[in-house]
Amino acid sequence: MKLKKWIGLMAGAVMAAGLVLTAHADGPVEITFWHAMGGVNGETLESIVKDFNESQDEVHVNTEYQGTYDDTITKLKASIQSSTGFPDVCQMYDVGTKFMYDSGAAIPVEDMFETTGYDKSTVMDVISSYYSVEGKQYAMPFNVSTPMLYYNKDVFEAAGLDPETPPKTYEEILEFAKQIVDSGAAPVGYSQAIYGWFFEQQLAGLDLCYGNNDNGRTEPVTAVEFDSNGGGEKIFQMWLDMYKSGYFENYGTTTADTQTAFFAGQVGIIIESTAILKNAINSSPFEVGTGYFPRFEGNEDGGVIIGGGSLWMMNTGDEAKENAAWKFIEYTTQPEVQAKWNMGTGYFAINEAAYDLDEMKAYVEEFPGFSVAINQLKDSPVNTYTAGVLSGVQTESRLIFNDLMAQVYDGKITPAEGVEQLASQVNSAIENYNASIE
Amino acid sequence: MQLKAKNPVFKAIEPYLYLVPALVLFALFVFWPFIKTIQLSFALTDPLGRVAKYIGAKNYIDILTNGAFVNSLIVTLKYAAGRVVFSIALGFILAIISTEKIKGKGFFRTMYALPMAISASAAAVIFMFVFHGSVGILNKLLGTHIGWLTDQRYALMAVTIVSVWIAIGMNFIYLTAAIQSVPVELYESVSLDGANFFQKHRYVTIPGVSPTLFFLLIINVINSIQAYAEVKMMTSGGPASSTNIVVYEIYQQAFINSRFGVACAESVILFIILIILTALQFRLEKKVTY
Repeated sequence: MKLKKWIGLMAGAVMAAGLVLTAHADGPVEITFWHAMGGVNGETLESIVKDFNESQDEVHVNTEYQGTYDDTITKLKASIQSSTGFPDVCQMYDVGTKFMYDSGAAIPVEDMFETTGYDKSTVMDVISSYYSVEGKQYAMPFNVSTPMLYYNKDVFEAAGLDPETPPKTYEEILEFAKQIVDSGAAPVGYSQAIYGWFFEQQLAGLDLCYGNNDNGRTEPVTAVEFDSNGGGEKIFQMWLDMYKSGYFENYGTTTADTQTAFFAGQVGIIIESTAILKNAINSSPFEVGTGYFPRFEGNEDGGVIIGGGSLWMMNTGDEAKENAAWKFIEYTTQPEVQAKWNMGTGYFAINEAAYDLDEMKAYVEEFPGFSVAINQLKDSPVNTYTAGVLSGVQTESRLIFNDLMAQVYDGKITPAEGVEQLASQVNSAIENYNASIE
Repeated sequence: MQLKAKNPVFKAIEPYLYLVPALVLFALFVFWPFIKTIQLSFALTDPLGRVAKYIGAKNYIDILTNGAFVNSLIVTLKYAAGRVVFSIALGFILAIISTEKIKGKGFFRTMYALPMAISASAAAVIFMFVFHGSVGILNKLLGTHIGWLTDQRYALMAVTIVSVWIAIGMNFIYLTAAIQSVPVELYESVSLDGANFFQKHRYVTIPGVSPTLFFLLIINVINSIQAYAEVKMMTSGGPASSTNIVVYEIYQQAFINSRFGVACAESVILFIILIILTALQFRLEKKVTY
């Protein structure tokens, strides 16, 4: 029996070509988990892995922090190329989905559902739809976030605004920002980082697609749509108006710089990811209020796209490790784990059952900001707009956006020119990408 | 015991055998990647960096015509010029001051050399707070309201200042050592001739340390053109590509945009530019007094 197990393992190792054999016949199966969570979020993740390792003795997960999302995907590419040091489970950001799908280096998680009797509906539809290609779920969402509005309740009070009523539209934000600055409650009324993700979110909020072929969900994207459907220009124009109003401050593309200003009480209102909620509460000496991601007047019911990251099961060719990897991934979807994750970070619980737990209920009562985030997600319609664009060049597209938005703010180009250039540059990137994977 | 006369054939190849270990290492880690780079620069690559198909000189034509790469070269030149001139000049001034007979010389020397001990990334993070538009101390001290890292007019300057600050330390140490090795008799001689402070340094110190200045010039130019960490940390090449120095542009093409072919073509051009620059600088060597 023991011999047989060894032979099986050896065969697996040979197939995995170059992988280090770390599993023992009688010890737990050792698997490697690459992640990109630093700071408060990283600590919570480590603690979840520790819980998992202690909860059973068949699988032992070794975490390896890889730096930022961009660092992680870069290292993963290198390890796929050289087929060494492959992780068994890899955390990947939302826009890495198409790359992972095209690379063929991962096993779709849905392949494991049937054999293990996993109930697909454990994860909310609006979330799993982002990680589905042609109807099949490829990755297990793990850290799910959306953008939302953060505001400083003390500043609201000082400005004579109701600290329990956040602004809902950009028009209202402008009004509130004016009152904040004019009353001297804070030097800056509103701020948002130059961040392509917000642009994608705003398009979804307008019930418009970023790319053609239903945001690439029915067939690969071949061109963008935000130029022809008018959404791009509308958004660029609104943001430029905000910028020029005098109540807005631009802290650039580094989102942390906008956060710093907000935490320091310099800015009344910002938009940011729900993922920084825990950090915001910890870092701010004032009471943090939260509200829905702002909309345009007339589009108040638009939804948000889920962002954040997911867990991918890598195709290592070693069945024992793959099963172990799935076991860990399955564990992360349990309500208790998701509740812990949500409370420790600000990322959503992907499993709705987490919100029925007593500890979670008590927590939300203490920090109502958490319920705003989840309600916003629940209120989001599941459609092609909120599924988000599935594109292999989205990282690049966001960088191009950053560049052009800064030029629009500076008055070097008009919003119309900005959108036109964005569309043509992203289209050529898409064309290049599609040609390279044919 | 008498040595046997060596086989003439062996004698001819013997010296090359001694070079083999070094050549193997060079071939493996320098020449092979270099050839690979040239090969990839003519290819369209897939997201994993594998060759999808060969497309001739298209990558080169694209990068030389679409503006982004040319812009990054211009930004790099501005950055390098600022960094080289100011870091050597300031290092030199500090070195002269700290060789004068003043109290607490050791303390000042340590202070001036200290930035060298800080990594570029760590320094960049600290300066991000200094330059922050709303909470940064710089705006507080100056009473200004400038987005040092978010305004296209100031971002490159801000990044250059940080780089200069980091680079001064090394230049300072080299120049201090060089000044101390200038023969004392020369200074005594010019003093007798009635030279003032500036004349003393103009006619004795500068020629005396010229080999070091030449060395620092080459090293600083290469370091500036290869700079990366400050930009990656502080601005990510922005706003609107105003700090997108060439190595960061290459990094973005290769690792963020997964266009390895384009990145390789950019690297080849950067290589050619560096060769030309270095050749030009060696012409300067004639002016150096050894």
